[in-house]
Amino acid sequence: MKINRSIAALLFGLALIASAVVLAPGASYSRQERDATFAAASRQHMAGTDELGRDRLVRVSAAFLLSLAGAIMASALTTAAAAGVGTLAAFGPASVGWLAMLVCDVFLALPWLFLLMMVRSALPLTTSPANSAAITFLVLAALGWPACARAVYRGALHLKSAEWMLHARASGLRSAQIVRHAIPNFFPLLLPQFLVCIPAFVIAEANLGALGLGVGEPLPSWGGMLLELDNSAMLMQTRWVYFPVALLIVVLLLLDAIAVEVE
Amino acid sequence: MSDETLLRVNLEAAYPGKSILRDVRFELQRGEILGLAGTSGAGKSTLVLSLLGLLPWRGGRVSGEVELDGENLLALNERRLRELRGCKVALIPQSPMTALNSAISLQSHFVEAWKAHEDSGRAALDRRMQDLLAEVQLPSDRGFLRRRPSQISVGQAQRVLIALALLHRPQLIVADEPTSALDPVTQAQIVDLLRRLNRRHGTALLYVSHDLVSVLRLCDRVAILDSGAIVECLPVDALHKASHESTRALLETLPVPLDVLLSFRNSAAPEPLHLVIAE
Amino acid sequence: MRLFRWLLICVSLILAVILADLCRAQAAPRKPGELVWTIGYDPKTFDPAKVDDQESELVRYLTAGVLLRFNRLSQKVEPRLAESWGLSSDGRTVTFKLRPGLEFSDGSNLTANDVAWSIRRVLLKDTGAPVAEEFVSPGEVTVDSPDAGTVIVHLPKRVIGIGKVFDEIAIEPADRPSEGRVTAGPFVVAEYRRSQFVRLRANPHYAVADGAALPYASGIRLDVLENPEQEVRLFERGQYDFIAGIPPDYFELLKQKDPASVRDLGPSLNTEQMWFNQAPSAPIPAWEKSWFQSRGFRLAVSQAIHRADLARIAYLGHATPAYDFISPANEEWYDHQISAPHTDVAAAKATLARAGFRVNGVALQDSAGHLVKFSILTNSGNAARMKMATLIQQDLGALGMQVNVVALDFPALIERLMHTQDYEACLLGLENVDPDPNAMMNIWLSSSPNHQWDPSEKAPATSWEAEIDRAMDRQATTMSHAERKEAVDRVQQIVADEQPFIYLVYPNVLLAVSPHLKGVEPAVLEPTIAWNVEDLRLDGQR
Repeated sequence: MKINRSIAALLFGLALIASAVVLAPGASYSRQERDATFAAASRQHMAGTDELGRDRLVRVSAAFLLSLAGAIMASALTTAAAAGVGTLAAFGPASVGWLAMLVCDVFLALPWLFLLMMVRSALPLTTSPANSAAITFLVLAALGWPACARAVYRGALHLKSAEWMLHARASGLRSAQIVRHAIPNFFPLLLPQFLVCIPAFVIAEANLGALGLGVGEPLPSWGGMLLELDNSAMLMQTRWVYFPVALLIVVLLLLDAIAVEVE
Repeated sequence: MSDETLLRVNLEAAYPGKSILRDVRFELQRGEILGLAGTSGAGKSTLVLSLLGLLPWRGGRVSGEVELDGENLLALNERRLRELRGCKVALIPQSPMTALNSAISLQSHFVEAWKAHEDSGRAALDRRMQDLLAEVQLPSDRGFLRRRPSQISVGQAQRVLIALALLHRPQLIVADEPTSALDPVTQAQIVDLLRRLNRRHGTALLYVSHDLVSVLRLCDRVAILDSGAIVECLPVDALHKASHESTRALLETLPVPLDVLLSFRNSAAPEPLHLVIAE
Repeated sequence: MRLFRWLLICVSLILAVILADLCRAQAAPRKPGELVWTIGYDPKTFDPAKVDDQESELVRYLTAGVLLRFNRLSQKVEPRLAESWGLSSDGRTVTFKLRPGLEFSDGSNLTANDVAWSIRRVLLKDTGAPVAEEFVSPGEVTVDSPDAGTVIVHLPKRVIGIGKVFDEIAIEPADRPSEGRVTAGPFVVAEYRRSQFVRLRANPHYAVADGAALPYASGIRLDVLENPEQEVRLFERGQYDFIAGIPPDYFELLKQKDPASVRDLGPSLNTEQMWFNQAPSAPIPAWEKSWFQSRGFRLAVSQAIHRADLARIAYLGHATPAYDFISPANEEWYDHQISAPHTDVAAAKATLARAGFRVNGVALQDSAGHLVKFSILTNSGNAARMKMATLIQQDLGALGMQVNVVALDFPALIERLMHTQDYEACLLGLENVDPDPNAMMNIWLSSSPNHQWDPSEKAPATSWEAEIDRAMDRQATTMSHAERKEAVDRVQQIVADEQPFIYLVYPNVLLAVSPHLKGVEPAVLEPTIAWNVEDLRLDGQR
């Protein structure tokens, strides 16, 4: 598994364009032009405005950047946690492995949506939208690791019984040496986990937003925008409401395609 | 046990709920090449792991004795065992591609194996590697050594593993089907290489294989392993006198009559061998 | 290929959703002459005495025979099973004369004995009837039936709007409570399938109206459906005869297709409001409490909110800006003379300056230098409230206030409002079923747990709250209607001056009515369309 550079470049390009849109002078994702709600596309608002008269293009761009940055960070955290737990479980005593996987199963069986709602309602109300976005992704990361850890555990078990490890022992290598050399072997294991988690978190945030959890107003989020699609009455207003979904699908496909299997 | 006896084995081994080796008894003289032949499933790989004290890593259990140079390996703790492994007894594994760590360079393999038993610096290792690589007929330039295991051929990988086994000049090398993954030409080259090394350094070799042809070509004596027990052990030259039915069954699988093979073995020794014998 | 797998999953998901939708979008077949509309959830009970939720109440309204009916359109009490009724001059004795020849739906006679039994049953503590509370001390009420056609109810104390209370008491056969299966109302419960529908059939012995055989409809099916999307679709296909309380966006959708199918009745009795937490025990910083307890602060917030924008944007124009807790739809009690603060950002800034706040750069600070920063809580899943909160966020931003909008699920919201009181401001709505302001006693009395901005005060915290208490008591005890009106007007003015609740909008009553449904005279009060259910009928029916 390795990174497909051209697709990564495409995604990076999209992020650059989005940043330019968000940072352009005069652009604001929260300014309400109340006399121009559901405006059609114009020179001023290239993708029209939403139900509160806010520029849709700026909001979609900001949501894209927020979701992507949040998901990448959450994914990195999850993967790191999963790597730690999975390795410990595989290389530690059998009882530790059993216990770790039990914890994973318990975590996987948790009603995570309910948990997220609990976390959300326990947050101080004064938590700023930016912080609540960060916490949302942190919670996603905290809930996302077990599935990942299971995969790492399986990979690490495979590694543990690898021929080269036995040969290394037969050559008299110390355990520390063996572990040090095992680490690079984890990258092909962790990279796909990392890459798979990113779109998963983007979708999870979108789901949360669609439930009214997740990122708070006026910060735009993909989930909040998907909410617009919830009723057919809204869809009648303007075709531009499909724009965030279209971009979300494109980004998900890009994220999915970024990790290509070698061979 | 005479001074000439390097290894004396008497062991039983089992995985949880399943006995693999019931009665394995044999001896190996210093400098000798002993072939260990048997059909697949006879317990050859288990025996190899048992000899090196590695069976516990695979979840198995060994009892009995593996006396190497008067020291019972099975009675040693892991710490002392590690010191012996790779230093006094080394392994040439079965499948060269998986036995090398695909994430690190060939050079690193040598550096780590060196550091496991030697405190002396890189210069000593470099000198030793020059000799070794020449001996196993591999290039010793930096470009080659910087390669990953996936970037060399299977035959080259097997030579790297042989070089690694020889690194600390062990008294005994256990070769576990070292040719099974190779094409016939490379097989022959590797067998010749092992034989040459044995002659030159006097390293004793336990050659485990299901391929009786290569055993006949290489070994002084043959032990036949059948369903977890050594059923017969006799010099290669006396193989036609074999009495046990599994030995006979093995012999019958030979593509060419036994005496033809034996005559080939005695006449077709490659050039360097003569030189070594002449020493 | 992973990419294709992804697409495959997406496509199959969409298909599954569509399929599920199609399957669910099959309403049961309509019986001849049957009216069909929806209820949001399963009625909790069919026992008319135990009704405590809106959908059970609807079933009771459609099935129960009552002595008096509160006419939802004229907002007057009319005799129903009673031929006439009277109240003694001290307001403590209610006398009913029954119509002659009344029968239950099973053909048995309905006498004063049944009426007295039904009223006593409601009053009994064991029954646990929520309506009993309206008698203030139900244990001391006595019911007599001197002859077969007369029932006399003795109250220990005068009860405001006592006539309307009897609108909620179903007369059942004595000792044979039937959970709506035997009634003296226009319909009886015929069939109930959990989470599917409640089916009612016409009562053949219903003989309240003179001459005409009412009700017109042969029956009613109430489908349990809470998805507005599906409801609208089925309405469009003619499977439902009306939708009461349609969301503004769907209203617009239907209006685009057929302007004749929708009606906006103007403001409802309901209000949407926000308020600040003034409870002294609230676990929020002391300086925030002092803002929230400052009249100037609340007034400035009220002046800064563009209510017209809220109505226009959050409700697509189907709401009316609100400055008062009584809706203009409530003609009897609405005070046209009230002077309330109107939108004026400059005035709001001046008000804040007078209250000791000052603007530092773009941010507002109080006199001690604390940044004015707070959160507005609302319930998740209500799009209109979320939009209003976001609009208010920007309106208050213009004053330099930094506002967070937080949407919580309802249980979490109630937990904060009622128990921990850990919140700063809240935006919610209040549904008023009863136009009589006496029904809002529990909100205005400072000792009430529903006195949201500072619940269960031991003694009124401020002089104006004390004055509200006194005025509310006065309207509840006086014999004179003019004095009641005066007291309620006073409360309206105090609330407008002090802004404990900052009223935002009255959502309009929005209806969708099939052109085939005849006899519709929609009312603002619940049940908006079904209130004259006897007269409703489909095209072609007699």
